[in-house]
Amino acid sequence: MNRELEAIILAYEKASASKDKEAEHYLLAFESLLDRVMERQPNLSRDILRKSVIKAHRKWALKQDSKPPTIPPKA
Amino acid sequence: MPSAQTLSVESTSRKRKPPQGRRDSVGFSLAKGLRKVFLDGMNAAISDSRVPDIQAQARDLTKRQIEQWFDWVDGVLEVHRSNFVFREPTPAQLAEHKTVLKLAIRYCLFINTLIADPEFNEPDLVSRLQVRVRQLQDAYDIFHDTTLSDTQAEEVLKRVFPK
Repeated sequence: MNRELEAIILAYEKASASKDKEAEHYLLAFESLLDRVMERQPNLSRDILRKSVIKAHRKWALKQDSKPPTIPPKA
Repeated sequence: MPSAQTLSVESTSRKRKPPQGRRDSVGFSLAKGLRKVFLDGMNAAISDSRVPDIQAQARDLTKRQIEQWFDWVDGVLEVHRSNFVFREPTPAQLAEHKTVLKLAIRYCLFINTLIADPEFNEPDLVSRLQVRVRQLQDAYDIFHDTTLSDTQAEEVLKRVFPK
């Protein structure tokens, strides 16, 4: 995997795994990495790039051996 | 009613008990003899010269309810992450995922209308709500946004991030 893409996926993972103010902080870091990519891709839609990276994050998540525990249905 | 209930979550900070001695179950009663108004746990003596600060009470109540809403949304996001992002859901679970995420986003937008009012003046709450709306929208889009297929996304990433 491209190293820059991997770094962006891991930045999104941090945002996804956190809540509230911490999530805000990590989301900002993730968005700034996307901004950096957009600087050299002026013809690319930022929204498309963002959604593509988040889909790649899920593919990455499915491959992980260490997963968060399943949350059971409410009794 | 969906049977899987995969996205049913329960807030940990709910279910406050009413103060002892309360006779009503809906949070409002008027004891004429004591000339006191009870409003959801808060009481204020009424005299000719003093009225209860209803505006402050309403604000406090709204803030507490929004914190509870945040807890619920965080629970939804946790279920999304554990049961849908890191694992393959069933079609029935995905259908429920769509319903719950749509509802959560819609309610967040209602709440945003309330707390974004300049008179409410709680920018921190607005900011915390907007983070959650962003997270919920991302959670929805991964599975239910039809504007970008998985194949299209892969092509974009191959073009932008060559190996």
